[in-house]
Amino acid sequence: MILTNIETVPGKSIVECYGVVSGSTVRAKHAGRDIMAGLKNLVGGELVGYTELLSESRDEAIERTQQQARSMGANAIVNVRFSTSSVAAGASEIYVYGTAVTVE
Amino acid sequence: MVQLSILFGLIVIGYVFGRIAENNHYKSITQREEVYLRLPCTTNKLPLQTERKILRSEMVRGDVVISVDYFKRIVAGLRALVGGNVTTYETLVDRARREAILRMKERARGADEIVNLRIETSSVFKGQQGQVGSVEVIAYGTAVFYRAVLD
Amino acid sequence: MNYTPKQPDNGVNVSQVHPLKDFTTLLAGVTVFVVFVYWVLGFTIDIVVDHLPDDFETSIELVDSRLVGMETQASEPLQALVNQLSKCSSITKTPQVFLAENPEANAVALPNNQIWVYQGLIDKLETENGLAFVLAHEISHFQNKDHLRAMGRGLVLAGVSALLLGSNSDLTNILTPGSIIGEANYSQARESAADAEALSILHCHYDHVAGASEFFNAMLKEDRQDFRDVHLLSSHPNPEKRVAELEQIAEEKGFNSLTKELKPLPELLSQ
Repeated sequence: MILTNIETVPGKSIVECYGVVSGSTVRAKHAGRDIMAGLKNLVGGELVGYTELLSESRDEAIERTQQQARSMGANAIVNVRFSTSSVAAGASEIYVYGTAVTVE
Repeated sequence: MVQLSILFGLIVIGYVFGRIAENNHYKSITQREEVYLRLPCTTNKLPLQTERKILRSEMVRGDVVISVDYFKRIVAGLRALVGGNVTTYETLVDRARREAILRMKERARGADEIVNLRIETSSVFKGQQGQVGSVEVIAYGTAVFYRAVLD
Repeated sequence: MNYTPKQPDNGVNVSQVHPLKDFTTLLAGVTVFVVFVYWVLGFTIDIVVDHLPDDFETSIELVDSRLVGMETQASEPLQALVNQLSKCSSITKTPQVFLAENPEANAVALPNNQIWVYQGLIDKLETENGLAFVLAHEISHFQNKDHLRAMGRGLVLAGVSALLLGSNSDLTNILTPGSIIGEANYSQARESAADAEALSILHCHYDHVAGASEFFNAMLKEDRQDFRDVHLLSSHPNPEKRVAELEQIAEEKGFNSLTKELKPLPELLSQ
């Protein structure tokens, strides 16, 4: 599965288009991580727990998008966009969407 | 104990009615998605049929705010202590996105295609204690109307 | 570029876990965790309190909300009894005892080295021996520093729950049963320990332990529904169990519990 965030897949041509595919996850870290992050907030710096949380969530959301694309018979997703929001306290919501296509 | 039974009463009400509402909503979403399947919708900047003349194009938009029921809020609260996938909120955002895209398509009446679809999510109402009660999704894109083929 | 209308597999974005299953496993898991926290806290606070200097409690002044607005008066015969019983215990400072105007049958040990005996309790009793056991029980709480333990637990738990749950009152409520079970577990153990201690004090003072269970028997005779409640959730063990435990301890330690020489209540109190 090829993913790009531009209109095309460079060096290949799009022959078939299927429409929009998307993947989303809502994830939370356990309360211990939240407390550590709260403490870290006092001094600043990278909140490793949350970096991990968001990166895991993005991986899963991308995986879900690819599953949707596969279910349509596509072999590439072009123009992929990420969007992040906080749906609940301590939880992050990641949304990935793009256009499922077949390239040759 | 009284407080606890009120709480459980609310949870049961939330579960039963939330589930009924969710099932109905999903049924309506799937039905309408079937109808609008013929309207191509992509995140690309260029229309699919590059060879055809374009009559006009306009921006279309669809938005929706959906709230989660009490039961799911409690489950999400417990989940936040433990960590992991907040599965009860997945249907919330899934329903909201699909509904927003459908509303956008419904507004693009007569269009041949929608290009450059963008989707934004935000939490409009932070309920008590920072627990979010609802999400807002806005879907927007450009509806393209092709010139009718005469020959 | 061709367009092929196709519906994506929308199932992938929603986990196929039944929400009720999710709820029950989460609730059970977190409840077990809460009970465990109480258990660990009991041990930690016990260790800390055991190492506190004796005069620590004189430096704290707390007002218990249950007691606000209750009228109290010093009682000569009660104080005399407490003075004598204290000599049989290992406490260094004799507690002050007060008679409180309250129809409830209860007595409490307060952090400022005071014992409050409710009028309702006196009304239930007929012998001095029965009253002496109740007072000895409260003295044992001081000896075991149970009031400090209770206070320490209260403070630590308030801190922990504020840290974990914030001000989320829904979650706090839903975890209440777990915290009550944990608390009851610990508290019942402390009460039983105080009962055992009180029996020794009673034996030291009267040379027999007859009449020790008078108060519990009086409660049982009333056969009130609230004493038949689920004792898993109660802060004190069930009166039947306490009577049985007292008999068992008396037997093990060889205390004489058969004598009939019970003293009547001091006159000032029995009116």
